[in-house]
Amino acid sequence: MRQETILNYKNFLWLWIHLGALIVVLIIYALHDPIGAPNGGTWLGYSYGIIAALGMCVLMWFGIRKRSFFSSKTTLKGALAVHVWLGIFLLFLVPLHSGFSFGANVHTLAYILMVLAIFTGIWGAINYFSLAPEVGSHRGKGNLKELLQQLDIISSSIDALTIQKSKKFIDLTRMFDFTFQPTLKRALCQSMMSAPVPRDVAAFVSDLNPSEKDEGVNLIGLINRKYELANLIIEETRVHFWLKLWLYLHVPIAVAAFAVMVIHIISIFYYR
Amino acid sequence: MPEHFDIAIIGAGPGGLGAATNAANHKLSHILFEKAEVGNTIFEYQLRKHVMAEPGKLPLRAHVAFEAGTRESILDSWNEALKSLGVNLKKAEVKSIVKSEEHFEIKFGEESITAKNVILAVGIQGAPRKLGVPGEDLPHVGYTLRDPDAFVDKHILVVGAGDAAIENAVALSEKNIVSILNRTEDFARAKDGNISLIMKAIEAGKIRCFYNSNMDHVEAGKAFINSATEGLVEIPCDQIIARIGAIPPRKFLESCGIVFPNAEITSVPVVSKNYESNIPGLYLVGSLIGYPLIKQGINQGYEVIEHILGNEIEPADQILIDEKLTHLERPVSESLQMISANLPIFKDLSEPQYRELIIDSTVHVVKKGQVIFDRNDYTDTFFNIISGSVFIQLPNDKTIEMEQGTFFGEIGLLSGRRRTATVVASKDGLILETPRKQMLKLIASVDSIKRAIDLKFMSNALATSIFPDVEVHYLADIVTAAKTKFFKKGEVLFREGDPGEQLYVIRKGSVKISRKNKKGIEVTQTYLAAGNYVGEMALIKDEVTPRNATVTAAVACETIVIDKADFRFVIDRNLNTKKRILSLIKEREIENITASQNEKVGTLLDFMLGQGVSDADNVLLIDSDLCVGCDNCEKACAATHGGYTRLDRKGGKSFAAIQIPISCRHCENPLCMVDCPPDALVRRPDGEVIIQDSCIGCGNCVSNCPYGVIQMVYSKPAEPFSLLSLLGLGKKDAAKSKGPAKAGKCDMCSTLPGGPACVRSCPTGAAMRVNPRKMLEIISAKQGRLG
Repeated sequence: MRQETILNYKNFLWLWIHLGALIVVLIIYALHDPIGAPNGGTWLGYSYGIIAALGMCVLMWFGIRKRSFFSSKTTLKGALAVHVWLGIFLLFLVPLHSGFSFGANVHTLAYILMVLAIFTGIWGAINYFSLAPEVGSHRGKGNLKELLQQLDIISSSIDALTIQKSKKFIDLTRMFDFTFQPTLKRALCQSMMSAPVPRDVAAFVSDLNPSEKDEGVNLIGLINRKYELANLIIEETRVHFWLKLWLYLHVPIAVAAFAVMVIHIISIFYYR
Repeated sequence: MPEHFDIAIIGAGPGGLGAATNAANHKLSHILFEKAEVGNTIFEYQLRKHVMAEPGKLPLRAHVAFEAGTRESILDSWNEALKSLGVNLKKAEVKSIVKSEEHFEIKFGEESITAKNVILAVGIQGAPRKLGVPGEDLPHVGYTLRDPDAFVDKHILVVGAGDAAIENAVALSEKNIVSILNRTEDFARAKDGNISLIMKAIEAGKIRCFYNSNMDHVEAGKAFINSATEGLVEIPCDQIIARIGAIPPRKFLESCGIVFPNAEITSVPVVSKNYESNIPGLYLVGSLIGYPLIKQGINQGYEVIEHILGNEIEPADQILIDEKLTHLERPVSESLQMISANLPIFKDLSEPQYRELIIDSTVHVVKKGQVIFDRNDYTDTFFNIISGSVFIQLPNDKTIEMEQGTFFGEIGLLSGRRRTATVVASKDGLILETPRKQMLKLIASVDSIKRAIDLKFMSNALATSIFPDVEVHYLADIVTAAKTKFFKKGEVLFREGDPGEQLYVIRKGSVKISRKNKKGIEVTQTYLAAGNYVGEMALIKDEVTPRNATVTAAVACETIVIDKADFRFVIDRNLNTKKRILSLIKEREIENITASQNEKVGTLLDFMLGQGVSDADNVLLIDSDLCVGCDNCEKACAATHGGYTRLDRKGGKSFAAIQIPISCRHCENPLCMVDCPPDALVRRPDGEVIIQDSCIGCGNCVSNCPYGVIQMVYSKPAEPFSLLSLLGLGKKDAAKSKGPAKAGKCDMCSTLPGGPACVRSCPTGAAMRVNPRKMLEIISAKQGRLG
């Protein structure tokens, strides 16, 4: 069984539709011979502009569909499949609409914003496919809150172990234990932390008083678990950050692109 | 000389109150015994719990008011009625009731009284089991917990390892220092959800757990525990809450001389139409005789008093019977008589049992050719032919005609599986359809019904599974010799290498089959659902053959066991049959799957079986390789179900990139349905298990579900969709909820045209709803992930 995703939805139905449409608009564009250079003001320019504007409406509709939980005619997966392939299609259609004429004006601004929205969307799709398999909490490793709780418990167990211990024991703790403050910066910038090498540890543990050896072994076990947890926390934070970040860019940029597009449409009525 | 009364009533619950208030109203000499509080079951409810008054149509005949309301309002009105009518209430625990020539002698404490008539209305909850150690009666030892918030900063010891103990301990641990005392080494008896709650609390240091420990004795402010590891431990203790089960009232009833029809736990004593037991003058009312609803109890208590006075009145439920039978266009009494005369299976029912059967059932007037149910329908009711006849159309194109007085539908009734045949009326006539719950109650309490249904079920099961095409009369001997055997979840039917002497036909539930691989590791190979059989190879060969696989119950199972000797005795006499069976067994393919000897595939299959997937009609699975954690599934569920999500995406277990969220599996044998007083939980023909509006909010299903998928919810209007809500600026009035809490669970969005909203709202396609067959496909798809 192959699980259907947004890309291969109904055997790439929407990819094929948009690919077909792209070929058609390219052929018409190539055959089109306007007076002067191709631009948004020709009949073809207007037609492509209208199609692109409708396309933008469909793209924005996804935001509404996502929240219409009673909707029975479409699935969200299907709607997202349309959203993805249509967005990529618009990337090509809009330059054809303008006849590749760009400048420092509101029209080009609308295009730039649309391109940004689409690229953040593509980036998001890539994140979804590449990062979803890395979400640890979906695989029984515990969610962030549980991991942090476990880390707290381990840290206090380590503290408890060191009470009324010899200097050697305290030194051992100082040597291998570490403080871990989970911050976003740390999760994004720091690579995985590596636990102490068993060979190094063994020498220190065998050096302990015989009465403290067992607890020394315990301590190292706890520290190793602490490293493991810290790494899971770093990983989980990082994955969730990238899974969410793109959306905080994609949505405002898309809304802005839509708004500027409306201004662009209104403004052309004042052209002479 | 002990004091004498005309009427002694034991138990001040609904039944006792109905009787006592009526006796007081008639100015009869009476006494009402109560060992705890008036309306104790309700008294023990949590504060301000809403109590329902079902069934709505049943009139209340009593001098005590009762309508739906809060725990407090009901208790107040009952206590008020007792006072104003001058009921003679005695707070004491009755120790024994002995009948002598002329009266009953009732002992309580060191005292006793005599009475001419006794009404037992003690309910089925039973007395809580006590600690059984010195100090058990000290004031700080309690057996219930009504309000965990009543305790703050106290040292509290909870005794017990069941759901009640865990729930109390966890609730108390928020504001108190809590220890829990567990006689065993784990919490295996509790529900999965509760086990994870308590384990988390113990690991987090919020609750201290004494495993393998017993109570030694109790002193004021202290508890002494015999711990397996630490010896005698003294802990400070301001309050002990013992949740160690209850002693069922059956023993007490039997000590009074009341006879039960059989040893089944659910069986109830037989009473006359006036609720008189086998001991003249001793009456039983309410849940003791299988009437769990408050109104029924009150009415029965009332009617018993009227009967004692010699006023024969129509039972209160007559109005419900009338309603059931008016469409037959003949006098109701005549219809009642005709039904009982034509249906021999019900000949041993007592009158109250028969009346309840009719109230719960429906009489259908069918025309020739009318379909009664279709093959693969997911219904589980039981049918009796009052008049006319039907055709049973089997999948192999065979048709059997069944005549007046016979019954059908017992396979769906007992196995909980889809219907195995289509049934069509072959003549005009009347058909009685009885709900599963009512039938199960009758099977448990009336032996002749159990025997009749069992025999028919077994011969059908054998005919459709291992012996298709074998004449039914060959099976009769096997059927009479066969036994039914129950297996708990995880119990082994037989092990690989054991000598094989029996064949098991799975009648209910499912089993998993595992073999040892080369490394000696047990690998789960496949599972078999109800209707299949295991162990047949052992019966064919003459010499004793060792089993070639281990078979374990994946969920609670009911099997029909056939001994080799019985089996051989029959088939050796019928050489043709033997030949046919031998070739059939060779050809037979087990519901096959591709699971190889790969341990990891076996582990994944094991994980899914452990989560009840094999016994599920429809499970929500999440492909973790696609899930981005957007929680749109939960949002969609909440939006379409009154503001509360019925699935907990993060809460479920996961394994090898498959996550099973906490969400209803729509089990084939739903445990939630087992103990629902108003029968609000039903299975729709398409397979979904849903909760109807008649839910009274008792919470039984919540504690019975092994997967923790039912919650008590308040209805809350869905937030209307608006552009403001799109931007996160919508009005938030989540706090506004109305009415009492009712049980809420996944209904598969059966009222929405598009199907489950969770699946429809998953943007990446990670969420899917699957049945067990699909599960196997997913396992083979995920094989790559297992490494």
